[in-house]
Amino acid sequence: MAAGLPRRIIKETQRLMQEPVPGIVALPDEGNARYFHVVVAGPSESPYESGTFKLELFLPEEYPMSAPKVRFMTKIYHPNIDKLGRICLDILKDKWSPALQIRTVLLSIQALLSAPNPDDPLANDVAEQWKTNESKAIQTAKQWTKTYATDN
Amino acid sequence: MSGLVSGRRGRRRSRRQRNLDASAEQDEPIVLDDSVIDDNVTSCIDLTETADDEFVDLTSSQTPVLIDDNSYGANDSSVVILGDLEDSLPAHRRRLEDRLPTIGDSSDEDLPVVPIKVPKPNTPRPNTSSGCGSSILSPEGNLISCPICLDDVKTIKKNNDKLATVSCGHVFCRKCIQQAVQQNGCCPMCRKKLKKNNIVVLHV
Repeated sequence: MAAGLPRRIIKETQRLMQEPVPGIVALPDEGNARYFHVVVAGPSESPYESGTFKLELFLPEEYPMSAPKVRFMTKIYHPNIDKLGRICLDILKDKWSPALQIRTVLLSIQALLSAPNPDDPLANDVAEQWKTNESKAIQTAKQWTKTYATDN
Repeated sequence: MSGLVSGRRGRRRSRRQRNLDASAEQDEPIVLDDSVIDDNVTSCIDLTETADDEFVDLTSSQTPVLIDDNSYGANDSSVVILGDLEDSLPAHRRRLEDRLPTIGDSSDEDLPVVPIKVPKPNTPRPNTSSGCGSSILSPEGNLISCPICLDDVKTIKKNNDKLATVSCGHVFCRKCIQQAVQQNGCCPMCRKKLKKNNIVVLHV
């Protein structure tokens, strides 16, 4: 464990363990308390339903003054998530606030799965598909969920 | 001296008389002196005597009520009641959670029977001489904490820091909000634009 781990990180970690967010698991890495292994359940009534998505979350040295770095490890078909798993979410960029926490970030990511926003795309091809043929895009997303996000 | 003169006026008169007597040991020019002395002395006496005579003890109910009259400043005005009896506690001072249980009750007539919770020992404090009672509670009844470092007010004080607020009213610890405003120029809670001089340290 890092010697100078800020009290805030310790508190957040403890609370994540004691009062986990439904549908979200976040466990600190054994060797690095700033690195979290995250699993997010695909929200119901979304193309990602019944999928479990692995993410990695890292708290930089400046946290909470700067945002955590979050990335999908599981392949996902989503207009705001690119093939490297990078997420286009304002609160992870310019809209970050030090009053946000790991749990609020993960909840926002879960909400992003429920509400894809093809008008602010990160994966341009996916966004294009989403805008031109939404039902086909949703079908692809379901297929990817089944292929990559089930039983992993 | 006329019997119709009120006690206060009588006293004033008699004091004036004494002054007159004292200065009357000299000769005639007293008349002039008298008007000068009279004005000064009267106004002086008036202030002190009025305060003494017209003091009304607002707390003189039969029920024991503690008034903490020393430790609150002028801002806190006159009546700070620290008693725990329901009828001595102004309604607006009752905490929400104390009132909530009564909402579900069948009738308002039951109100006096409903046991009102005695304010917790750390709610109103009789001893605030230091001004540092660790009794700042959030609406949920928890100790207020800084949403950035997540330390509660006790820990903040232990670390020689203070609570601070900004023009939108959100509360943080001073260190965190200073850093956040410097870095982002806005409130971490509502994103209202802020400058450093919008930060107000709370001396609680």
